Amino acid sequence: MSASRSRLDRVFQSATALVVVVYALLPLGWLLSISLKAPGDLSDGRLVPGRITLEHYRAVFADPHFPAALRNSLGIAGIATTLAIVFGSLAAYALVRLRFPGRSLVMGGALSIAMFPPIAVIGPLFDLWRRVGLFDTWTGLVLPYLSFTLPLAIWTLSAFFRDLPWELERAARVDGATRLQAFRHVIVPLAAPGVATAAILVFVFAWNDFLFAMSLTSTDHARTVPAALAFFTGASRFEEPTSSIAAASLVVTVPVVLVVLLFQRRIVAGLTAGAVKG
Amino acid sequence: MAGIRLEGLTKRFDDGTVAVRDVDLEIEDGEFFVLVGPSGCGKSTLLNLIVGLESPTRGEVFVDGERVTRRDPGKRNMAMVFQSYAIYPHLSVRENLAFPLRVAGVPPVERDHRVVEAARALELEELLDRRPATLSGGQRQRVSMGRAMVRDPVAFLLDEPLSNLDARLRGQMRTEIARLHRRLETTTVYVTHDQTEALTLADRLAILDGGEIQQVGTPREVYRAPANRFVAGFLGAPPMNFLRGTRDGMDLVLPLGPMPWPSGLPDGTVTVDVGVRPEDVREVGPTEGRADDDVFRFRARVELVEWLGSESYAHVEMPRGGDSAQRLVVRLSPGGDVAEDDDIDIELARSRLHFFDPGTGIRLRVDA
Repeated sequence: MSASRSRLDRVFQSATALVVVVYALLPLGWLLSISLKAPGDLSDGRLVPGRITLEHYRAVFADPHFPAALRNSLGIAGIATTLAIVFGSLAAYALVRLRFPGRSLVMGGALSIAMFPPIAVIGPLFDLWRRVGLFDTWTGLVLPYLSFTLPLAIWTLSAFFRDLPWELERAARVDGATRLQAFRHVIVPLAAPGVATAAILVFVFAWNDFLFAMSLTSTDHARTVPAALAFFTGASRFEEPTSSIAAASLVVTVPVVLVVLLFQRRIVAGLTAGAVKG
Repeated sequence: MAGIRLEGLTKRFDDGTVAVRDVDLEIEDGEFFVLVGPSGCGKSTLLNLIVGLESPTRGEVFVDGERVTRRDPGKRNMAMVFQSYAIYPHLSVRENLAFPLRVAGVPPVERDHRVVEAARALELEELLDRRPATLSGGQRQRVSMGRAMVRDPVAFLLDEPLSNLDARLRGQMRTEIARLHRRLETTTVYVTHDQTEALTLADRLAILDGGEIQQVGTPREVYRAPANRFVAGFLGAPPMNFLRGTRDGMDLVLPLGPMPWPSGLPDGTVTVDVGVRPEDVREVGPTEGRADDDVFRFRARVELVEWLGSESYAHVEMPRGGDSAQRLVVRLSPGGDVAEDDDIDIELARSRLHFFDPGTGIRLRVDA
């Protein structure tokens, strides 16, 4: 009875997982299909391309704007992620460990900033950036990314810090570590899964952002990939660059997937097993 | 190595609870000092105040005559063993032991040397490259001790270090800690709620209740002459029997019978709490013993027998229990086989009675 029950459970589990995976991967598969189709076959209505060509990928890398955009994307998302994690982890640690007046106000404020619709600040930010000279610069994008992702990082990290055994930190302090040393040598390594999670969220936000990138940049100097794609011309100027855009989209999706997979290896439960008797 | 002195130490938490109240204590250099008391008595807070993980609301902490009250825990050069062991799970045993040296900036060569030395003393050499998650409770305990030893601290502070171990291992580690202390002769402050640990390990001990020190002394002193009812009831297993005695003319009337009013009790005393340890209430053969005024002798019915192997105790009805129906715990003579509902003869020397003020619980001295 229970054996057949669990087999049934497993069938349902697999079926559900399959549905979710197909649902999530279908657009990607479609993108892949378009990016590989020969120019004339674009609207042939088939998912599996009849003739396969790498022409569009060649076009993407031949485009003079694309490598610049890729560099901008990597640089801006990388800087935003690093800063958000450094400041976010210090802030989250303070919020979890220290008792000070206005603690919940800071947490609530951070949350409300994360909820703020980005579109509402685009106009004023555009004017402001033009005036102070941040328009079309890396800093001009890193700053808004930081303001929207820092709350996210703080919330994610404080949830992780809260679950860490406090005695470890006390032990480190007795062992002669300063607060900062205890934080760096004990708290951060133990919160690595949380740090990785926060880093992924921040990186993906910055990497995928279209709104800020579109509005606050104008040239290769700071234009990131999502914005650059919109200006894509493709292999020849006489055709719709659909296939090339698909190819470029895939090229920029791959790093994100790689980053997630890389960090996922660190997101393992039970890292703290053995610290204290559980 | 160093002596530790506490002066008027008080800790009031933000929520208003006073965990430690006005503690004065002098722990001597090289001494094994135990803080013992029921949970919530403030003993762990007191330890945290000594090491600096908490800062006192009032009062001072001195180490070797030097005031360290405001000093960072890491700068006091004390080592602490936590109840949960608090081993760093992301570091190997070797790295765990080396951690205090690493943050202190000790060069790697000397670090290795000292880690191996500590590991050898605790028989951890085989485990040096293992991760904490793969260690047993006893091994984790050792790692925690090793991390404390490696720094050559002025004092060891142990916070209920054995309470997460099973009974057999606890006894083993207890002996090991005692041996370690004898060898290192480092001042040790040991917090426990377990009276066996307290009595066996301590050079001297302090019994705490409600954040206040109830008594300080050697295990023998506090066991033989508890300063108040709390200490009397806390130390000893099974615990001390308590009876209520009232004055009747020149007699003190107990549920066991009358005895001459002890001289030395304060004038005007009408009632006293009388305590007697189970081992001082002995089962005797019917013919045994002398009939004299110094001894209560009576027959009582056994309600319950607790057989512990090497010794056994009987709960008996008090001969003149009246309506209170009080029970008395009596040590049975070894080798006997008293059963429930048996009547046994019991003897109790009056010199073994302890007297306490029924209001304050403070020990009342009587002339021998």
